[in-house]
Amino acid sequence: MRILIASVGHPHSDSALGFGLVLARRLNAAPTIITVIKDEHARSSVSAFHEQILTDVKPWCANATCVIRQGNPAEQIVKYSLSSQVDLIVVGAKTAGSPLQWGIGSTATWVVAHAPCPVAIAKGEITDLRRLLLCVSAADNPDLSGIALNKMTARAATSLEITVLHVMSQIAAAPGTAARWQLDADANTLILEHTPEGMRIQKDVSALLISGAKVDPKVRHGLVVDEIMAESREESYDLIVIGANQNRGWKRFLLDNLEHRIAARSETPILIL
Amino acid sequence: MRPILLFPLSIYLFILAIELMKQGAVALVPAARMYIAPNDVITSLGAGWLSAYVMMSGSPVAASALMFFDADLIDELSTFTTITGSRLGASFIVLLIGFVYLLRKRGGVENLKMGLISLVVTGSTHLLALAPGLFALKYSLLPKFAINSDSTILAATEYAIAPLVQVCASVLPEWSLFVLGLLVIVCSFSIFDCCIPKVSLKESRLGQVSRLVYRPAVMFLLGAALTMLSMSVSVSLSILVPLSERGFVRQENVIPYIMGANITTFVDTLLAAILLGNATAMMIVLMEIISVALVSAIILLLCYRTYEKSVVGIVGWIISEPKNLALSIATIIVVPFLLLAL
Repeated sequence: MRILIASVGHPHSDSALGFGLVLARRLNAAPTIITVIKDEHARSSVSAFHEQILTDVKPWCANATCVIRQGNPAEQIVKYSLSSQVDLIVVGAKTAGSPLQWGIGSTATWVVAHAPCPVAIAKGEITDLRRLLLCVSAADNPDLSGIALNKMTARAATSLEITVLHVMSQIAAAPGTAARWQLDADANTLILEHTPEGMRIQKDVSALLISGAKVDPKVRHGLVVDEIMAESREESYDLIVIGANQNRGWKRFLLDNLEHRIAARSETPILIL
Repeated sequence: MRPILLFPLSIYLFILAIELMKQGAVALVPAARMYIAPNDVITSLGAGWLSAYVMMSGSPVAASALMFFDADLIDELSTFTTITGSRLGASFIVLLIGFVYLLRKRGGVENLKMGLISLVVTGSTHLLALAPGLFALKYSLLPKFAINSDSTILAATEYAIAPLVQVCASVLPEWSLFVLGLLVIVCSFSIFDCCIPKVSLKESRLGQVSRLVYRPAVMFLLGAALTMLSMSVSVSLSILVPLSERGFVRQENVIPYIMGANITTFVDTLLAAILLGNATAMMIVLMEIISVALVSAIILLLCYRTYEKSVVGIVGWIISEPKNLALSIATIIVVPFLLLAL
């Protein structure tokens, strides 16, 4: 597994570097640290920075590499990931001096939108990766656990604890709607009764159990983004995993960009599949 | 009867109702002046609100307000607030239907959520729109339109409707034409509801209103578009049922939908004003539309997430305990009476 960690030496990208190295160590992956410079003057200082990183990671990873590129950071990161068949990109939440203090930064936003692989957005300080919050919907999204996450959990050095969360914000469109009980049901009831949400949760739980992770299904009721944020605050998760909006064209225009809203509000690192 | 035949019938009855109410309102004015304070915006807000409860619909009340304005019983500002009150009263109807189901023990308080969300969204947007709407009307910020009384449409209605109105006027007391007009307008809406095609978009992207979270602007436009066709918020809310699997919709989708519906629900009232041939009446309705649209646009663009959370929070509080629900319903019923008494 190959992880590309975007670092430019600023405080925010230090979190990307720290988080990326934690991920690489946890997943027994070879990290590549990429730094995109604006002009040649910065190359020598960045090279020295990279040398220090390689020295620090050598005890647990002899395959770490560093690359320097010049140009637009977001474009260069995506370009490198395409050419090198990277499995995961780690970026920081904001670039320095971003005028939009409430967003996730233009670089992270662009990378998430154009990357050919999952993107992890680093936030705060993470020293280990044990508890994951996997957010699933009942919509026709790609099987999250079947793709990248399962690969990750299988490679984890020790077992991960994963909470599979589905948020039901539905209400009855008219009174007297049949099966109204589903609007209050917990995860186990939905699974037992084979409701669409229950079957989706069951599918993800079953796939994750194969990888050896400890999996706990959960359902919350309320506004989707608010409930995910509440869950991440109430429990101590190391990573929130969500699916990307993979629609294109007019379909993308129709649907709300939930992963961006979650990434912008979360204080926990986000993995967007 | 096939919808294609019912539609022109519903339109004919609507126009007939307007003419009957217009003529009847003139006869009612002397008696009504004894009981109604013509230039009291608070009383007229309560009157519109309470009348919508009685009529179980806001549109006939809004049309009545225009008739009384045309007959010089009430002024522009009172007409505006009567129409606003009629929307507040009409939004209670959806809640009432849910409450009836609750009383019949067909499900729990979940039956009320749609009605409560509709009430809170309608109440908040219309009450916020009151001040700018009244201000703009008072200081004539909208240009006055001139309705060409020789227009083809008005001439055609005169030809098709006037004889029937004259027959009714010859056999009934003139004041009763207003009541007859109210009954006919209710019939026209009922017939129109039968004309609305069954919407079934379950297999399309739009059909997944219970599984996907749409952008607020998209649901806002959908609510506005469907209500322009149905001319009723309660009907366009019921359209959500065939659009969703298992009869569920997401709260994130229904809130902006109702906001959009609350704007184009005035289409029938606007039509009534045009048929009345009264340019000022038309301006009053346009001001309703513009003020509600302005408030909705500001909410959507500047503070939608806060608004969304507030609506969900208020509804959650109301249904959290029976005493909260009882207090809320009592307030909704008592407030229009209080406004009338002021």
